[in-house]
Amino acid sequence: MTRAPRAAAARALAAALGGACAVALAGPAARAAEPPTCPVPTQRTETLDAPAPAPGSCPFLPPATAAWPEEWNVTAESFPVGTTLEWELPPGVSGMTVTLEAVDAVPEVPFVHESTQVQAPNSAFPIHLTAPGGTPWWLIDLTREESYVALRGPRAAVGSLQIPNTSLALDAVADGGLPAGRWSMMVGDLAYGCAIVPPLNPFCGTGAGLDPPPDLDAYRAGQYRVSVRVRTGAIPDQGTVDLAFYLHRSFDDRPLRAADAPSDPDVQRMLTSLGAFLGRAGLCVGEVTWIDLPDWAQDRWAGGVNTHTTCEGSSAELFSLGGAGARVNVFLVPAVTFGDESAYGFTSAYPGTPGLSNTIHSGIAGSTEDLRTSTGCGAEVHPSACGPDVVAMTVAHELGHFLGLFHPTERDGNLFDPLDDTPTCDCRACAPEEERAACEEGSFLLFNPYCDAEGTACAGARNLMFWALWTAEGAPPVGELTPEQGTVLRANPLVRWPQPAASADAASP
Amino acid sequence: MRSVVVVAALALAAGEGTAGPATARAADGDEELRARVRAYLGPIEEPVGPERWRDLGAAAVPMLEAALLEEPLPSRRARAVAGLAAIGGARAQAAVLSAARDEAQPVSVRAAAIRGVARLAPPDDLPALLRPVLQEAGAPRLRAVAADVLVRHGGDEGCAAVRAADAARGERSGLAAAIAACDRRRRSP
Repeated sequence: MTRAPRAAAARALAAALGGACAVALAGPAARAAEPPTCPVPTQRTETLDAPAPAPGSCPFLPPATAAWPEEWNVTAESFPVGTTLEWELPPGVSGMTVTLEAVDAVPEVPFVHESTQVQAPNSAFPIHLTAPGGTPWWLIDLTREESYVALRGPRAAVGSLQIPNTSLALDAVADGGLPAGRWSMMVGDLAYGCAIVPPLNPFCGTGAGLDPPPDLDAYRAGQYRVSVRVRTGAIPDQGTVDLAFYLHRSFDDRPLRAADAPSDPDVQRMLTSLGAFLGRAGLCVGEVTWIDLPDWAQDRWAGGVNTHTTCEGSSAELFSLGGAGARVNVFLVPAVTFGDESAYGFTSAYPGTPGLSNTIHSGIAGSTEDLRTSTGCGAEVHPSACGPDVVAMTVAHELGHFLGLFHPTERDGNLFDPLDDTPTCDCRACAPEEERAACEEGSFLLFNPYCDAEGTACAGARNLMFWALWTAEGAPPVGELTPEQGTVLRANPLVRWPQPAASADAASP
Repeated sequence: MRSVVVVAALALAAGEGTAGPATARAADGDEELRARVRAYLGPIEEPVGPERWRDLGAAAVPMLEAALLEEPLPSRRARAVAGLAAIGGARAQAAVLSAARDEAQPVSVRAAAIRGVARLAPPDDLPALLRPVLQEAGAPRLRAVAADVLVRHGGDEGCAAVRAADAARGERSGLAAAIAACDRRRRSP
């Protein structure tokens, strides 16, 4: 099953990583971040001239225009699924981003979900990622307690492992950095996994009883560009993130426009409140770029983004407009709907692929429906009453997902994030007693009031990454972040570090 | 079987989920029901889904009506409309249709009401119900949402209504995505 590493790949990886500096890390990695004193974000506008996609086009593979930030100097080489790559990591590495970009892959995979055959997006992920000494850091069937890397949800065509985003990995970083020595990884995706990984077989392999049977030859023919980017030096207490806002006009009477954004009071309130949320992670908002969506896109998403839409007008097509640069692309649209019901926002992937432009996962989206309702805004950030603050919290929450965070507890109270210091809200302990029978099947929803105890059990409702906004009158202040959550955010390569802490970054192969 | 959760989470987007019998008997009193109604307005990403709204029962309708009129934020009013549409019944239906027509409501609330119509009316009736919105609504967003509803629920006649409105309005009708979806459906029925 495992093929010998290609010599060229190994050489390229070794060469690219050879320049990474070894810098002693100061522990612990996860410290409570002091809200930084941030300079006022710089704001500018940019023009987007992207042409409308050809009629009938359905974005999937990264286009030729997909690009990494120039200053990152990323080079990626293409490999077939099943290839085992190896690379040498020097001491002192505090972060690693492994990205797979599909060159050729089936877009979907028939999959048995709750006894029903559905089409699942062909997610891009390695079959394994193994540290020096043979410790598996990522395997599809590792438990939360065993896995050093966390990823969830579909990630068709492009997928990244973002390290560190678990307590296990944060501990390793605090203990002197990621293990130095020879790392290995098998290039893969869901389709290839269905063909060769035993735990997947009953869901999408020959043992799934699919009709028609899975096309294993096609599953084994996938091809991916692979890059491994590392970061050295201690994760600092503060960092800066740059944002590009793509604006749909959204409102007929007071449209959102890039040229007006720096003086638009609702937009500026949103930006200030976003800064307040991110400040709890030690993050400053650095450069903000306002970009009008082109006219064809204004027309195409006039009704908002519906996650059930495919091809033209889909979220995939929208995110593909996300341009190049070391910044997070934020799409502000009139509405976000899941079928016939509204949502506040969503991220393109959990976590996203930092820095790669113009793919179906190049951004996050937030609804502007509350932006112009500012009557409830006061001196404090108040997302249960102030419309621009609702948008700010939505953007901060989705940004958290994109940079590596999950909901501390998923809504059914059965699945938890991979961080040890986040509060949990276990259905079996926190749901009303008469409802606990529903916990097993996941049908009871752990809403904010069930998760607001003091301490870390039956708690989390005030966390920025809680799965629901607290909409009750008199709701308490929300938007908290734990030290580990802050460290995950600051470790992301999209976060600029203060100069003294920053050192040479490297990319490969 | 420890891999099951991980496998499903990796492969699939979260669905609407299922509401079991336990949620059906959840609301013991007005206050608890009111708290649950408020909570259902708050999911950031995945909405609660129509089954859970329905499980709240008719007693939730007046509370949702109140939310529709009194909630300061349009997002919550829009979610209240979705709840009313899911629960259904004459009173809920009247509230949804009223919201769809109410020009004092924010566009996002009226758009949610148009989506709600798809739950309340038989699919065959949708083209007749939504054609006036396609043709006459001043806000591009309302036209676009009506078109989206027609494409997803209104069958061939829904697409025909969208095409007719697009032809009448010309370029930048706000119906491009809906027309494209109709084209795809025609290519691969």
